[in-house]
Amino acid sequence: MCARFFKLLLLGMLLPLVVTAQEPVAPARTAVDGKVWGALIYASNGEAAALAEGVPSELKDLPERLGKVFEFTRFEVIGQHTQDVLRQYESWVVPSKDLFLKVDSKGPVDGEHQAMNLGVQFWQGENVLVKTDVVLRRESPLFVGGPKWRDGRVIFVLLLTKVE
Amino acid sequence: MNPTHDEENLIRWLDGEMDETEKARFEARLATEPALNAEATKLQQLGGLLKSHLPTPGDIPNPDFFNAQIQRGIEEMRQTERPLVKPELEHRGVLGWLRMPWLIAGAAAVIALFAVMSPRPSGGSSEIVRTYAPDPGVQVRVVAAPEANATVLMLDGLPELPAATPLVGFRVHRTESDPRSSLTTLFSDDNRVLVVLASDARNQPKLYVR
Repeated sequence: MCARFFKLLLLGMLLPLVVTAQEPVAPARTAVDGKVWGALIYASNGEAAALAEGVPSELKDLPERLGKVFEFTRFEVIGQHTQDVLRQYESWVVPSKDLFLKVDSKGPVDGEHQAMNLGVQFWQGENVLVKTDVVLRRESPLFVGGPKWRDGRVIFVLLLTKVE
Repeated sequence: MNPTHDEENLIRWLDGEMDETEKARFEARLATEPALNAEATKLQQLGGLLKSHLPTPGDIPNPDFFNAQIQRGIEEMRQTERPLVKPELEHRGVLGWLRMPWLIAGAAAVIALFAVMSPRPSGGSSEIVRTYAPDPGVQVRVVAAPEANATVLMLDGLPELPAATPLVGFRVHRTESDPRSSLTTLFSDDNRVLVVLASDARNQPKLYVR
């Protein structure tokens, strides 16, 4: 009688835990510090390519700006990704499965409404190529000159589009 | 010879400033007073010497140019002395304060203080604080590119990507991040799952492409 009572009690205690574990986990809402746009660009020498759809209005002159830094004539957007910069967790900017960025927020820059302190890691597959701390300001993108590919070079562009 | 008075008379006599009566009286004294006469002779010689070595007013080279320069200088002085406010504004009470330099300086100081204390709008270039490349074969160069209003990280020494390998790009429209499971799911604009990214215990990313 006593053993049966304890079995029922134990079942009563464990059942809610089992039910809770089987419920689908809703994505947690995380606070956001800002928003970035990242793109993987293939730079080569050829006829200028039309600007891809989805490029932020701040970078409508992206090919011209890239052309002032990199000695190429054609800049083709391979992939792009607009991503919230999460306050307490890592954010991934993945315009391509081959090259992507991890972004950690270090908060808005004091006294500026349009700049953020970010920790940025540039990944190629499972290898991190470079880690950097950057003060990213709106309208002033970060260009990362990556590896050579075919007749040109791969470039990563990161632009701050919003500060919360 | 009364030194002060006689010297003054001598100079006036030499400069021809005496009238006829005064001149006759002074020349009579020169005839009777050898010391005064000697002084007059000495001054006459000195005057002749100066005249022979210094140009006379008529000897100014390029007199027209000289006069034009003087006229220009006078005109510039007049311009400088003009009031800052146009005469028609002088009697307007509302705008009269513009003539008070201390008030203008005060207003400028207030504007400058406001500009300093106001939050700075966007401007300036992004800045690289520090960089680290785990692979010692990779050199990182930070290049300022003000002409492109950009900051550039050049990674040199990276191995080339195989030409035969295509680069697969995405256009990510939406992301869901679940910090509890370290999963990030990327969606296309038609809400299809493009990639699921998982970070392992070593913060190593693993991509699962659909």
